[in-house]
Amino acid sequence: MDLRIEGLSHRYGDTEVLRDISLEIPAGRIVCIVGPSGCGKSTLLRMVGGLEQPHAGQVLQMGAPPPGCLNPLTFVFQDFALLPWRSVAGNVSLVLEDHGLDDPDAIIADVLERTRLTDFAQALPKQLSGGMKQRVAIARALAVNPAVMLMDEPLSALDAQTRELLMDDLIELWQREQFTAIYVTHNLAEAVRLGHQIVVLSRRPGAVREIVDIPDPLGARGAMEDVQAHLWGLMRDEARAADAELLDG
Amino acid sequence: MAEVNRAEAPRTKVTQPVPFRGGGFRPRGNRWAGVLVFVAIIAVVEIGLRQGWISALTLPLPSDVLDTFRQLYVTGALWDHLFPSVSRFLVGGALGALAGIGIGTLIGLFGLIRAGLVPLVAAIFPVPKIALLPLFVIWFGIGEGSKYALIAFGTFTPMVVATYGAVDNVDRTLIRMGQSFGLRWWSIVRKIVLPGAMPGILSGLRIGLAIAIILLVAAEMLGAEYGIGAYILEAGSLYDLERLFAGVVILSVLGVATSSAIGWVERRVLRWRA
Repeated sequence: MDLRIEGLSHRYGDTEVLRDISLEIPAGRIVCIVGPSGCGKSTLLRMVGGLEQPHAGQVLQMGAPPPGCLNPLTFVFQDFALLPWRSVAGNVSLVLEDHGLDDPDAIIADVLERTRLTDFAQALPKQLSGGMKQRVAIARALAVNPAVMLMDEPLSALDAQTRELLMDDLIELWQREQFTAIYVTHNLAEAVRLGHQIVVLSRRPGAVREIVDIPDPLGARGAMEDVQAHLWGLMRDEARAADAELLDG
Repeated sequence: MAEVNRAEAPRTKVTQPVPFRGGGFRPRGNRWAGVLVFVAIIAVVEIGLRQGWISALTLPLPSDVLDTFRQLYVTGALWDHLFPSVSRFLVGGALGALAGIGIGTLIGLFGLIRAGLVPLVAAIFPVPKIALLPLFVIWFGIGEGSKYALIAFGTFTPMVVATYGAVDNVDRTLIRMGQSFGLRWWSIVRKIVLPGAMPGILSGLRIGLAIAIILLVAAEMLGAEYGIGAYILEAGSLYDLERLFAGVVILSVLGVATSSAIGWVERRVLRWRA
């Protein structure tokens, strides 16, 4: 299933947040969206996932979701959004319970195995480190067999070392099964490691500034400093201006 | 010379450990401290009365109260009073708490219900429910019905306020998460909103049930043959301080038992809290 974003614009009251964004997200690819803070990256993602309604424009699903897909557009949140009163297995089970499946336990066991959480199935979120929590959230997302994963700064709440480890995990997951993802981040190193395509948004109102394709295969990338430098060159001045802006302005 | 002194000053270094200045501000319990306070107060009263530096008119002798208590137990009168009181407390409290949690959840979830009912709740919250007892007697009769209604009504209002506050405080990102996974509305309420509101609901229950005990006594004083309230009223009108205090002790025990029962539930249900 491909996704197409057509002429998406949005405003909160008088503040224009997004302006005429059009993008194609082809199946099996990871599209990273970067931009200065407050440029509407997360808003864009919520609209793609149907959690918010755009003022103008639309998001189109093209083609049918894969068979066995329970939730075509599935989020992975920055703050994990795990239910603290449910165990690791219980959090995964939550998203399966409404579907009346014959054997949800097999799916739970499978996704926990894929994210190497099998030993922690009965642990509560408060017992887990940040990296583990995000792996639970990724396991939960995998459990519904999504057509597109919508990842909203999934590694931003983690420390640098955990982030590295989880990036490796994500690459490994993608190599096993080429999932489609929109990956919002402000971290350029993440973008160049994980993105087949990097969309640079401008400062508010967010508009597509440039789209950078990275043909190198996911597993075999270095730091790609030249690409990072190019991206940062696009963003630096705007990031500075965005930083100096009053929040309620 | 001054320069020499300055140069020498650091040489006479004083080595000392960094003083500790953290700690405190974290009260930690000692389960015997509470018992000790009770024992100390009772001992002071007992000794004071026996030695005469507390007037015998002000307080009954704690050992006499204990003896009254023993007689109550031996004659079986304790159960005659305790059983109706506890069942009124349980029935009325449960009705009020369940209705309060239900209405509070609806107020927390639906804007129109909130707009309609919050002013009403604010209007009935400060009304002393005891003042409404005659009304309840007319509506539900002089028997158990009016007592259940009074206790339920008194528990209801704090439970509504606590519950809708708790529902408001449920982490919105968890609700968004539920929606993003396509959970049904009822699933979100049952699996995300209500468990998330549980800490607030339980602390509301503490207040609600304390009020229920107060109203229980009030209702029994106004019209009951049996019950702790009736027992206290009778003792009070005879100025029988021993029996009065025995009744008060029963109420205190009821309060402590309720509070520790809620504490037990909290420890079990809220184990997930960090």
